[in-house]
Amino acid sequence: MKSKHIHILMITILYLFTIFTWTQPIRTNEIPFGQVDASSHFTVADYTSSYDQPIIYLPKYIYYRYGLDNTYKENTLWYHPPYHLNLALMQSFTNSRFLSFYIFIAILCSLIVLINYFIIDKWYGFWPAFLSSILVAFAGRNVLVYLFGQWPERISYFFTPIIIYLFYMYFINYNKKEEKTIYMYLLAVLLAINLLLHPMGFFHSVAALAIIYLFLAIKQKKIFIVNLKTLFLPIIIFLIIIAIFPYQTGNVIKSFQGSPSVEGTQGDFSRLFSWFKKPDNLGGVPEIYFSFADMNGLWIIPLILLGIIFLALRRKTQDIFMLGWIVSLYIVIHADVIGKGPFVHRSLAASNMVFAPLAAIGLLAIISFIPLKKPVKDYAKYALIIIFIALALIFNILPSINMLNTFYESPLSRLNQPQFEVSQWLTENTLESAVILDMGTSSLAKKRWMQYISQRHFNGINIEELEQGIPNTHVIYDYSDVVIIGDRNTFDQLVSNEQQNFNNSQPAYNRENIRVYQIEN
Amino acid sequence: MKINNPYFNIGLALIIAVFSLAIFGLTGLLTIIIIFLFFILPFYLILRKTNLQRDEKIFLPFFIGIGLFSTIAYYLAFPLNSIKISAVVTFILLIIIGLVLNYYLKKPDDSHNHN
Repeated sequence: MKSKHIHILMITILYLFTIFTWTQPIRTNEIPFGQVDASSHFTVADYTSSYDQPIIYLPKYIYYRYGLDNTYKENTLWYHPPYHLNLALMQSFTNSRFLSFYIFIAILCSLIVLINYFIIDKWYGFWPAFLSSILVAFAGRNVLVYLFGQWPERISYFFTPIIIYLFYMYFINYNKKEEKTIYMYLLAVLLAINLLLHPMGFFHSVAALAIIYLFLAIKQKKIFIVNLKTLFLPIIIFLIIIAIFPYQTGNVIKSFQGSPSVEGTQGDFSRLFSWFKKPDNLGGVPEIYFSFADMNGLWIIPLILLGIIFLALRRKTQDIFMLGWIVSLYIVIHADVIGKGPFVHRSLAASNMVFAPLAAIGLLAIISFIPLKKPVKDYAKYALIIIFIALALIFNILPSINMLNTFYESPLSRLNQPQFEVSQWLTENTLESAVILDMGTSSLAKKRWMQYISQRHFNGINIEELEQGIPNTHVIYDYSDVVIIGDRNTFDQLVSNEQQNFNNSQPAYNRENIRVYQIEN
Repeated sequence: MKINNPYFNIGLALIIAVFSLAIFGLTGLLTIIIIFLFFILPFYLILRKTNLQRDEKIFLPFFIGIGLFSTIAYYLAFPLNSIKISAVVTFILLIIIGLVLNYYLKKPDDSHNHN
């Protein structure tokens, strides 16, 4: 077997292992997982597949929460349709409502492993590519955001390196006087798709292209480093694709125009001297998300710095692209200092895909900094690779696998079996117009999941102004969480409320600590 | 990256298929097949005669597919009144486009196409 084949086999095994570990939360438990907004991604795909219809205007049970999220056209999809339609196709064609959805999500959220490998292998060879792929596969923040459920953003970020790569291929061929316009066309197509998947990734890609262009222009001492005539058609293609979904693209433009930073750090120039300072107000994000040590491992910092020094000294074309990429990310992550860029903390989740290759490049650069002769050089290289993998195993792989195995272990962190079953019962046994009041379920995330699995409107957990005055048709008394928590007080309150309102009524559903009553209107 | 050994490619596909089936059952295998049929194959055929490098023609189609396949299927679903039917029609349309392009376009000069 040729060495290239062995390399491909190695990266395939790494990726399959990644998928195996990442799908742990759904392999052992069919109940959907994800925090509050994760359920919105599920429900858009789920409605599309279960009704076999595309969505323009939101169905009622989605409208009450997300009806105002599209600021350009109320009551329409707030995201461009492709991402969720892809998921819906998986559900429809596999006849699986949850498993295929989550397999595809896991594939999309971990694709950076293959993307990183493909690009870094071409630029720096196998070992930097393979080692950095290990890091991105088990980067804490990648795993955490996936578990939380900000899924479209993940794949959208991963488009940035692909777009950078396409620009690189265009640039080097153009520089050799062998212009290949196909790369510019594909760049336009993928940049547009980047926007369709999630605007955050699109802005990262644009920032990266701008900074890389600037670096190349400075290096070549000329303003135009691409063929301007070639740009015309790609720009048209880009505009056509983003105009295909006018409501959603309008929403992006409108949101971008009116979105000052919400981090409260405008004018805080001390922010410029750290990659990201933990904000005073975490805004619902777990503290661990802001910890470099927990999310990346402190051990990679010297390697990243070595990598940056190595690239800055060498300055080959691909080095300029790597440096431009990390500088652009630094600018995006610090845009809040000048009052721009809402939710810049979300951009942190794009850091690891730059850090990882830089760390791997830095590791192997050590060899080039030390003058060694041939056999010793090879031994030293493999010794460093083994140390790198060992450190990755201790500080990245094992903690991430542990996070994947335990994050949704508790029955309070995702729907328990009785809650899952009552949600499905509601779909089959109530009218589409049913309005449910849920009492006792312990968290907003759980109530939202129950709302979207049942495809029924749960009153009081959505946008207040839209829900006002809507009469309930059903009441759920959910004791399943309070029993687990052992919360006697809430339990007694629920019992008293139930006896007061439904003392002489027969529940329509009565199973495993959950009762549902229909209200006679 | 040369990956033009058919036995190796088939072996790789088999590993992925067996993995999907073993870990996720039939749903896993079907998910992989759908990904291949809808997002990779049509755009691979469309890019096949371009002057991209061989591995790029395998690597890039998926990323085009997850944007364009569903965009076309979304709009076709309105006249066809079904997402499922529109996905099948989109697949057929794109395959036809790919085959036509393959028939009419000249084979690209491959001499510069390898790393």
